[in-house]
Amino acid sequence: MEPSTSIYAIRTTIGQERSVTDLVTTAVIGESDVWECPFCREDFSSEKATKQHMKSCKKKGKKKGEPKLISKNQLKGRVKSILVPETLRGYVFIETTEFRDVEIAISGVPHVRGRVGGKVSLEEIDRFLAPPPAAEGISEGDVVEIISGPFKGERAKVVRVDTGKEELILELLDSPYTIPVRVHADFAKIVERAERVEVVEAAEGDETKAESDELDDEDSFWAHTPDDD
Amino acid sequence: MGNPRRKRRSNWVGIKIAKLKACKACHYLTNESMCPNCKGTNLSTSYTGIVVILPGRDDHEDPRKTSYVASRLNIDKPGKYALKVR
Repeated sequence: MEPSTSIYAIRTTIGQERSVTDLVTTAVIGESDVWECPFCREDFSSEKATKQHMKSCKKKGKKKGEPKLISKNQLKGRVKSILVPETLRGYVFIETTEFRDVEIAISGVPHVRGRVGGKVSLEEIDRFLAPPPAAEGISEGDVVEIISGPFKGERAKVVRVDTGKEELILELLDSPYTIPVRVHADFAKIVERAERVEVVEAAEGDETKAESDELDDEDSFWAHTPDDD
Repeated sequence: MGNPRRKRRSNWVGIKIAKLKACKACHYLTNESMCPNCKGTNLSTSYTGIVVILPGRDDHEDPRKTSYVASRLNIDKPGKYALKVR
């Protein structure tokens, strides 16, 4: 079954995505419905609790009445989820049934800088939900920059890629000695790709083979040129 | 250096925000040393991305039925989860 919800993006101050998420969460689950006892005007959070109170309400006397709904939490059950992909800074995604719910959820929340018009397509959201493995696209011989940890800012050459652990074994370029350093692939940014020597060789091999094929073929234009001379 | 107000404020933040840990098995975010969702003890402080699955009107409702994000990530209990845990 396809859920009948849409995903909308909101813009936040960079670095405040988590606090915005927490505040929206509190706005949705923090407030409950308010029911009132018709006799003593006391507030309760559910219809059941109010009915239980009404049985033993001191001001009841011989009067009859029903629990009265004072206010209803508009967001509960309508805002389904909040997504913070930290790869995209300054944006938070909210899954709701209607755009109006986004408006209510973010009203009064600090660090919200606005909404993004239109829905976010599910394919775009999938990219954040199932991020590609970090080591993908990095191969041996590439030059990377280490972006976190004790070697932050250093450039290094990739010696080996450990795809299972998503780790890279690097050799620092500025170091006079070759010390292998193990770094998680998330903490390496690719700077320069290694020249693909094997690919070029393979392509050349194909070409020579193709040429010889053409000379072998009698109907080919190239096959007749030597005879004409 | 000696700004008492600034110092007090930083202390307050330190008490208030405890570092959340993510369960490596179910990605649930928690403050405790055991995952309250799957009772696992394999927790990690290194994670990226957060997903909050909010409860529906009915508390025992399966969020996978109503939410695309929950169904995609196969989350059956509302709560705060990490997207990727190392």
